Amino acid sequence: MPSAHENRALASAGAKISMVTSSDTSHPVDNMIDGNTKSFWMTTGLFPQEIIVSLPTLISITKIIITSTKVAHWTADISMNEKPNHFERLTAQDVDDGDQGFQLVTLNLPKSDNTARHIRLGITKGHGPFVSIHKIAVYGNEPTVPATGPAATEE
Amino acid sequence: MTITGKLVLRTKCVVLGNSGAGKSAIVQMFHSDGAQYPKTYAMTIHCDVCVKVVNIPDTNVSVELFIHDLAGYDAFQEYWPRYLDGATSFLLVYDVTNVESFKATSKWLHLVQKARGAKDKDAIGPGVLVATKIDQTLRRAITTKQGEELAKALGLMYFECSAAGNTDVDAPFYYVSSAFYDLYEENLKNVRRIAGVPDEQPATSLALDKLKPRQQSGDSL
Ligand SMILES: Nc1nc2c(ncn2[C@@H]2O[C@H](COP(=O)(O)OP(=O)(O)OP(=O)(O)O)[C@@H](O)[C@H]2O)c(=O)[nH]1
Ligand SMILES: [Mg+2]
Repeated sequence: MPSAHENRALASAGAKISMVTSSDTSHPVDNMIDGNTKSFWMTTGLFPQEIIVSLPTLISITKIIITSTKVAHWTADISMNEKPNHFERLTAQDVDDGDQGFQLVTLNLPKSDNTARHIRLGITKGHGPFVSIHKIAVYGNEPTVPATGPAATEE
Repeated sequence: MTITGKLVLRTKCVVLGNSGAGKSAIVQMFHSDGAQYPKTYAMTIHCDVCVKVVNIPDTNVSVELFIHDLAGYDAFQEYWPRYLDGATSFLLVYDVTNVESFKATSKWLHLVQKARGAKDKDAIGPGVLVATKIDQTLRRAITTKQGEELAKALGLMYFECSAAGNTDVDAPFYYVSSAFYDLYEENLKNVRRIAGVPDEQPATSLALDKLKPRQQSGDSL
């Protein structure tokens, strides 16, 4: 059983990128989920850009950390469905320019429960014409089966 | 790993300058490969958008220009910033028979600079100064030399053309496309440096790299 400290968005663990809005065959999309910040996916111009990360199972997400360059604004939506549809807004946040280095962004998780199968990441603005994404890391647990009947407790 | 190797870059290219300067004529001639010259003036309302693909010679790269032909008429002033938002290249056009349009270029460039948010001077990408209607030799009020000096002062490349005469209309668009590709390559280099990857292509693209003629930035076209 993987622990909460393990990155769930790894191709080697069954995660995949279901959709992206731009592609450069020299920098394939799987570079974002190979666990390595040296390899990357780069946009080829224009905004907005979108990426859908599909996790191998439902995960109750505790943390999302993205390594990138030149992103100016992230949006994130999540879906619990088997297919990537019916997304709900998770967060929208501005990002400072990393200038000469990486941007390491931890997305805000405003709700207490962020259970998801798919994460849709949107880049609506860049600090330059192109942005690169080097690593998407998603941490969390497999959700406990929802309690049925009166056993459900309020915190 | 596929080695189809076709790279498509996309840029929002805004064409701006005074009303009547000849922006739509240039855009329509370029877009129609010289087939459509608008003889009678039809003022652009808000902004007309069209797409044109430019292949970069000797590469597997093409640039899709999302051309935004802006309305220069003052009544649309409040919309200009919105249409400039997210632009990554531009053509700044004036009419060589019209001194006002020549003088207004600095105002237009200022708008571009504001849209780029001043913080990052590369954010908006390449731009050129285009002097048009050079077929009007008798009515010409602005010389080539004046145009070149202005371009130098504004830090832009200078081009002159005539939509009516179908002369050199494509050149500024080709330049912008090629410069946008250079910008992409430059950005790639920078990203590799940040990621700590040697300036060689990453392993996944070695095969592609062999198929591609060596392209040094700065000398395409
Ligand atoms: N002689 C000559 N006339 C031109 C040329 N290009 C455009 N014109 C004429 O100039 C007038 C204005 O041209 P447009 O291209 O519509 O001008 P515009 O810059 O798009 O103007 P707005 O849409 O109002 O911003 C038209 O009557 C054109 O026929 C040219 O190369 N030579
Ligand atoms: Mg027009």
